[in-house]
Amino acid sequence: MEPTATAEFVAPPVAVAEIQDFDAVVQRYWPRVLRFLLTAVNDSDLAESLTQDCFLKAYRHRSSFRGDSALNTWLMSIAVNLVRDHTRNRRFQFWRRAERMAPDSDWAKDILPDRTISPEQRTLINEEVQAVWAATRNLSERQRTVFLLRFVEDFDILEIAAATGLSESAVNVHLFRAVRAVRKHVRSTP
Amino acid sequence: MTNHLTEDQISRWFVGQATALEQTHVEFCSDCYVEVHRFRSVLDSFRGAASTRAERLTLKTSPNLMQVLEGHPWAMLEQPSLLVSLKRIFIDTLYPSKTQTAVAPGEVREIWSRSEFRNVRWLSLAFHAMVLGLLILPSGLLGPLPTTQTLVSLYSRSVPLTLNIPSERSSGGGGGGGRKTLTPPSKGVPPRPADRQLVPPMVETRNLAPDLVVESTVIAPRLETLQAMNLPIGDPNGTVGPPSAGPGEGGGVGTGRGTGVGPGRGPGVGPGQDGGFGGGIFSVGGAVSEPRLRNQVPPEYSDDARKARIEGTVELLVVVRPDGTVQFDRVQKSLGFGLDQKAIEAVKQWTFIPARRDGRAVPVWISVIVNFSIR
Repeated sequence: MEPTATAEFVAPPVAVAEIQDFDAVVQRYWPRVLRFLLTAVNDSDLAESLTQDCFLKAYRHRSSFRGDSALNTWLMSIAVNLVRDHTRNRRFQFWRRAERMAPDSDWAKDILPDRTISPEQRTLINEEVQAVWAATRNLSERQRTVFLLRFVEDFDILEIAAATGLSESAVNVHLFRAVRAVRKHVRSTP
Repeated sequence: MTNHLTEDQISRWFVGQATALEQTHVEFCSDCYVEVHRFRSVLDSFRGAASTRAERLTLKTSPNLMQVLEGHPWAMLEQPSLLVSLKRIFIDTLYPSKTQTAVAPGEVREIWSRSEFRNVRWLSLAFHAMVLGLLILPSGLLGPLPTTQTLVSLYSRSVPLTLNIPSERSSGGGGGGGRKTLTPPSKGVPPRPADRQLVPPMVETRNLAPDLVVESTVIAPRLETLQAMNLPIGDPNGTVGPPSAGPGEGGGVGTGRGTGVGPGRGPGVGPGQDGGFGGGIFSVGGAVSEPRLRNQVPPEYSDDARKARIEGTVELLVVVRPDGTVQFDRVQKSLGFGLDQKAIEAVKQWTFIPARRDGRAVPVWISVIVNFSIR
């Protein structure tokens, strides 16, 4: 057999190539990270600040990103850690708990900017969304994170596991408990 | 399966852990189907609300990398890990750098010495001269500016000032008077000019309750410019003080002779004789010789007029004083574009050999026509 020399261009993983242009990464993923943080924390100012922190951390550690997971998942794992750190820090700031009871603004104006639905329907949907939002406040930090990643970010179980660092079965258990609690809260709301 | 799904089963369905039987039930049981999809739509609304709010906030801030790094300049620097740092120290120790970084006293050039400073000073002088030259030079490089061609016409102002046709010797009227008082004539206005004089001007009313009031007048042309002012009658060139008719004679006011006002003779006003207004500013003609130009300063073109290429004439009315200088009175014909002002500025600098009357220099009215033309 004659020796054959083969040369092959090994392209870096798509996600690794993507992170080279970090400006584009910021512009593409900012709304998603912000959306998750908006639902995870209380006020929009804090959510924006945490989003900035998230991208700052990602920028500083971009060389350590190996492309093992999708960039979205990686960014979300940073965001999840930030939220965890934040809630841990403010656990002692009991005076801030009053905020927890009231959402910082009305979600109604953000719901379905669709003129085809009637005001009654709109009010009904608004109440339901408020109920879901209030229900997530009562969840534990892990359950809430898993619930939001599943139903707001549309992550599948594997992605949630990658983003939170939990095992698949743990994600399943947390998600099941979260859904049951939220449904209970929503149904109990008149 | 007859019963509907329990709450736990529905929750499990949402998590994706429903059994095949449960999934089939949801498809065929309308109640469970409605229940599942109602909650699904609620979750969708929740997601939609969060998305809308996030997008709105993103649009407001329009994030980019620079914004993320704002206030964190250290984020731009790659921070070497502890291992990398240790490795660098290790390599630096094993393979020292060839570059000599030893500190030794070196020759330092004296930069504050006087000669150096002088050089710099000359350089500075040359530089400033160059800048000044550059500032001045462009006007020279642009070529000659449009020169002005000035044509000056002097002519007498035709105002009928005399009642009688003036003779060569006695043009310009005048009058004088006085009551031989010791005090000089008091300051005031001459009485109303008229064709005839019934009563000479009186500075003091002697009869406070006359039977017939007769206004005192002087014989002079009635000019519109002489407004009747509520001022005491007197000599315009008199001194401020108590009413006095002056040391002249004849019954008028002043130092002259006759029934008029002023130093002349006759019933008029001012120097001269035989009525009318004497003195003041004369007009050329008769016994008044015309002034002759001694020194002429050409007017400049204004920038606006040069750009607009305006040509034409400006007519000025000026007084040539007895000392030969020019006093501007008014513009009789305007041209605009700043040319009037330029003409006035130039004409004011002109000097004349003054006009003369009876051997004395007198002020005269003249008109000056300044012609602006672009060659």
